[in-house]
Amino acid sequence: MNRWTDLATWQGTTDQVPVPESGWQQLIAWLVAESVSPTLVMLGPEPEHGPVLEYRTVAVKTTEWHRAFTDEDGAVVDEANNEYLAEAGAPPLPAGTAVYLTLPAGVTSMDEFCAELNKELADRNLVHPREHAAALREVLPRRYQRAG
Amino acid sequence: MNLSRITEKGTTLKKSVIVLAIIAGLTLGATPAVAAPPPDVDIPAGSPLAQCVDRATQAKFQEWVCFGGALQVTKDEKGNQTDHKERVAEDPEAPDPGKPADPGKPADPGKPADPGNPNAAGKASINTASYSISSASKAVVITTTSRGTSVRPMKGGDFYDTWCETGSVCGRTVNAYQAESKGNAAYGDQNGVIGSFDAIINTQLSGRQARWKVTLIWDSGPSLYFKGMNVECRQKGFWQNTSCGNHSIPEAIISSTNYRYPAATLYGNYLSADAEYFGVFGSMFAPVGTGYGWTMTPLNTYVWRCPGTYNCTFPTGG
Repeated sequence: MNRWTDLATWQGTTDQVPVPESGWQQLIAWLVAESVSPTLVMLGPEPEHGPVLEYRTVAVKTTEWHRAFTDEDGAVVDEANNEYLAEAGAPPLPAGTAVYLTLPAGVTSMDEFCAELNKELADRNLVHPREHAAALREVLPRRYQRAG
Repeated sequence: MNLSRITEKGTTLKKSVIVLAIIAGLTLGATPAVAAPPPDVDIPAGSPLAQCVDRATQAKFQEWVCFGGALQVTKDEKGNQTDHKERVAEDPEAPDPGKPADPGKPADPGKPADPGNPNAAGKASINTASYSISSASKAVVITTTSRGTSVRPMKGGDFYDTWCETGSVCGRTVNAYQAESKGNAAYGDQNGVIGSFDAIINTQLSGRQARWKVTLIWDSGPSLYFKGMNVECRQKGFWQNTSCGNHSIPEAIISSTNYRYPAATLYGNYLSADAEYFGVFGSMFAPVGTGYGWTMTPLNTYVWRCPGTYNCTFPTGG
């Protein structure tokens, strides 16, 4: 498996959860596919984006407001995430797609799964995405095996 | 040459400008006239930046920076070193928080209120035969003032270069894991504005770690040398904030020919505390070839939160 498009297409089932648009979380999904099983990860359409929070500060006064997510925002997000993936040695995610992940048994959300991983990785002093990838390659198979 | 003087609301910028958009590929004679670039700062009258510049120039401070509606003075009117800060600007354009912006447009609440921009093409003429345009693929702006003539890339090319150009600090959280802040700065001495630049800090949250990308954009004036650049991670505390890491950026120069400096990515430390955090970009800078040294007013990122062992996230409010 060399590309995200080698993965199966998500069919709208509830066995998988969408992975948020974060390079680190996308890397987790890629490494699950690579080091556990490609059947646990699928590629599908992007969920709807929430509004963008903007602010403007002059001297001490800050004003905040919301606006709709634009294509330009999407490009900023994709660029940053793909850069993170590249630094970790993973391929870029095709624009307009999202990743869907089957979580380990007993885990109910991506947030909960990440919290477990954060705890597990806390003492390792990981800095570069390559170091995260190496640690996750070690941790993820154990985590899925424990669940299985 | 048309040497106009902006006097609205007390602005005394000696700003004489000729703007000529010249499409790329012009290859004309002699030497580029960028050796002593002038202060072609596009400052809309009444904007936070103009209010700040008014204050600095009227006080005849000898070293000052306007940034985010605040004035930082490092040499007072007598030439004495100081670390004086003033909040001098009001925001005449604060958007109505209850009114969503047009989703089809990039948000720019800082659009100048005053259409009386003196930088209008056709107000004056210039002898283009004496310039060599080195930017082969961009339109450029040629500006002539009492301090000389400069050539610079035409503004408006991309979001970073057009967003938040009136002297406030602007920001956006594009999703829960990524946010950007931009500040537009002008600096000068007792004679007025010398130049201006932008600083942008992009923050990405990866699990319990932040990473930053800083971009500097030259706007006007002489080439600028930045040193001592760093991003400091700050953990918010009840009594006081504490450091969660300090990350250096190598020295850099931005100029009319290399007007954008994207610094390499900085990687923050693992953030173990259940707390709120933010990053602060700071730097010293000076026009190349001068003995002056300015201190940039720090540019803060948006505050993010790292609850329990969960991922760190920005508030999106969506």
